[in-house]
Amino acid sequence: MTRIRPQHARTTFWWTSIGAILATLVLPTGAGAASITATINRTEVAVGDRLQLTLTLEGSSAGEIELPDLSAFEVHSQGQSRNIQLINGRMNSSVALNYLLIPTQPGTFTIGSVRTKVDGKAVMTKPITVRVLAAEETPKQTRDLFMIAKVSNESPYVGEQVVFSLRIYQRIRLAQASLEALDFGGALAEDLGKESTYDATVNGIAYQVTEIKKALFPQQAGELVLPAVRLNAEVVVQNQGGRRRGTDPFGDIFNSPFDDFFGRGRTETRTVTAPPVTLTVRPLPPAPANFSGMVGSFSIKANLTNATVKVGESTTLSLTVSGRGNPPLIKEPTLPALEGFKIYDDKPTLQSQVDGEGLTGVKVFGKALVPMRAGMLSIPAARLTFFEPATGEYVTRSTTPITLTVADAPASEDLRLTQLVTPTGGKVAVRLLADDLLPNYSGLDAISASALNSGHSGLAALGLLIPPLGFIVWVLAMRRRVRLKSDVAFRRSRMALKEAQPFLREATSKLKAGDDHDAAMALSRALRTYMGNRLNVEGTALTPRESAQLLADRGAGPQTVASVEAALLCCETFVYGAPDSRTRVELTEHVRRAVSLLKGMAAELR
Amino acid sequence: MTTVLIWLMALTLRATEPKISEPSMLWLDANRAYDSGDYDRAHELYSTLVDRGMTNGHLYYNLGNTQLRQGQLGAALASYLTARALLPRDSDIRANLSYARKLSKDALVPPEPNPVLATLFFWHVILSRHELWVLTIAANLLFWGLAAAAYRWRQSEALRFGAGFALLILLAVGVSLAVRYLSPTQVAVVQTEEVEVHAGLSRDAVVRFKLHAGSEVRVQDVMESWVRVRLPDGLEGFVERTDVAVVSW
Repeated sequence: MTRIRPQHARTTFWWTSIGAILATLVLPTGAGAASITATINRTEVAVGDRLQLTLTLEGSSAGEIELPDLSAFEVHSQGQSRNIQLINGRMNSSVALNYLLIPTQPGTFTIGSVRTKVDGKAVMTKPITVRVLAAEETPKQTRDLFMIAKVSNESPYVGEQVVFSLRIYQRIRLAQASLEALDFGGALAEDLGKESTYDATVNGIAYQVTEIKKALFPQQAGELVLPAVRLNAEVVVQNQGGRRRGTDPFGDIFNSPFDDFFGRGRTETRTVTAPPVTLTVRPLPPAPANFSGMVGSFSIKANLTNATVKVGESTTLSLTVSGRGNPPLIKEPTLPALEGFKIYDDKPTLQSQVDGEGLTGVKVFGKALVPMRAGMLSIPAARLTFFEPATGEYVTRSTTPITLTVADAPASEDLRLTQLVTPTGGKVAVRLLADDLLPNYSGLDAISASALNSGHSGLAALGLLIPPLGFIVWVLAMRRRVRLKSDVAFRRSRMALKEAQPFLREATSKLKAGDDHDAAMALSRALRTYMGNRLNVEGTALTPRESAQLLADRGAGPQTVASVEAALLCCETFVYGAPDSRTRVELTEHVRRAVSLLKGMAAELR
Repeated sequence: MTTVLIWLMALTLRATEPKISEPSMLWLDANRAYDSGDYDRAHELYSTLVDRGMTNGHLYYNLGNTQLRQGQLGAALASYLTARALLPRDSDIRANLSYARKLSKDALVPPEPNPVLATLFFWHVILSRHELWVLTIAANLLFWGLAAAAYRWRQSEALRFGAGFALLILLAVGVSLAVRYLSPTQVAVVQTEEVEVHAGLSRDAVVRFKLHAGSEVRVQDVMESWVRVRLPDGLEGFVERTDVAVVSW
């Protein structure tokens, strides 16, 4: 692999051209806050290694980019990439400009701020420090797979941040690789982002490097040994003698790409080890009384949201601690007692960031301040004492005191004082202070007549029994009605007595009036109507003999049959023959007994 | 003449007035006595009303309040339980009952229906016996009425459905009522300061445990002069009937 190294003279020209490109760059519109950030993929390289510098621009239009002095590097542009994100309907767009930097000499260099104007606003990046090692310092290994573990500082103080980096150099393809769990021997470890991959040259050989970084915070003074790290890898070895090359004219065409594509080469398990690293952890010197326990370099500042408020209104005091160290361990600066305020602590917010040198953090401690009196109230300086490993001393930083102008509030607003401020605490359970009976009932309905209800059980029983009985009666009635409607014979037999009754009454009245002939006719009719209806036949057409026979057939008793026959014969005598006084007596007797005769038939007939 | 008339009027007034309003007069007097702090008089008047056969939840509630004011915890609890049986949904009665329960000495869970069953068969708990009767009779009438109508108009789906629904209600309230009569909840409330629970039906029998005023325990059996009680943990024994008030609903 040959690399073209442009001359230094060319780079100057090159920088001007970047400016020209950027001047014509039209960033997508609708972007968020205008900003520029510079990131570098690693901060420690050897001479001849490659560094990736990325400038990320956010905003809608960018001006000319002013670059710092980069004379220690060769600079190559690697083009730009555009990134558009749609988050919650808002479009965020950014442009990333990529550069390749190749250090030309050993030493520690600072890539100064990159300045430009985005959306008319002057923006700049943070400076980045890069350490360039002489080429000899790199391991003299020429193998195709090896691993190096390094720490940024071999003699840190207790609690100082140490960046541990593990680099895997490879020149061959790995089918699979598994790293044993990292052991940091009791030091707190924090991830420093995902592993990064870049190309590096060691002794003139180009490697692909995978770097894993952790921030370590030793917890105890003394020797801290980070044990050897082992990597088990499946290395792809090209299968060279497998095919009959030469005999097959197409062998070369087909074999090589397929071997590559399907990884037809066999694999070989290989274990590589990074040697152990020993740190000598130094104890902290005797601490002053107000030491916060933080180790690192930090700065603090205080600011208020409103410099003038009214009595009872709230303003927020933010104490911001930022710097390099263990972010979760950042403590609140000590603020002297505030006179004339009610103070409500807010939940602190913490933001951790990773840069090339490890973890940095910004922690903001918010406090809602409610001034209780008017006038000029001062917020004194807050102090924070920490240990700074760079100087090896305890450092106390303080904020600048702030003066707050408090105006009188209208008197009526005093009452709302507690409502204006929402305490962060939860709700308070209602406490029962004392308990007593609820009062008596005084309504007169308690003594109503219905209160005297002990003897309703009979009524209740009726209430239970009457409906089913009513139902039974109803059902029987319905059935009878249905039968009367559908069965002529049934209806006739039910109505027989009823229909015969008028004739009987007529017979009695005619007899009393002395009209024997008509009385006999009526009696005959009564009997025949009854029989006809009851037996469902044409009764008027029956002779006495036939009637008797019919009655006997349908189950009437012999006495009843005889009586009916006799009565009918007697009637015929009156109608067709010559009645005498004896027949008249008989007729009277028959009429008298007719009712019981009919009832007898009703009982006996089937 | 006029004097005679006035006399007659006075006589009739005298004769009729006490008859009609005596219970209400007693009631008002009792409430007044309670409000003025004369609990003995209030107790006497409320008891008179109870003795006259007044069965009303509010009356028992007021009586219970009076008894509690007098320091008769057991009697008050018995009155509240009776009041609750008559007016099961009255929140005042429930509040004062639970207040009174806090005053009892023994840490016993009062015999209350299982919450799951009480939710499933809610009508059994939230309806008084009287209300159950009224509902049963109404559901009875409705069911047989709808059944008769459904018999007459056989093609009507709605009538048949209605009759089925009425039958469901009738069964629910009817069974509930039957349970009230066949196996009523019987609770003995301890009336005296301390009561000995014996292992047998005799004062000489071993004292298994002691209960204190206001404790409510389930009754297993009521005998002539003894009551067999059972604690929630299954402990059983006999107490003298005069020492407890048995309330059933």
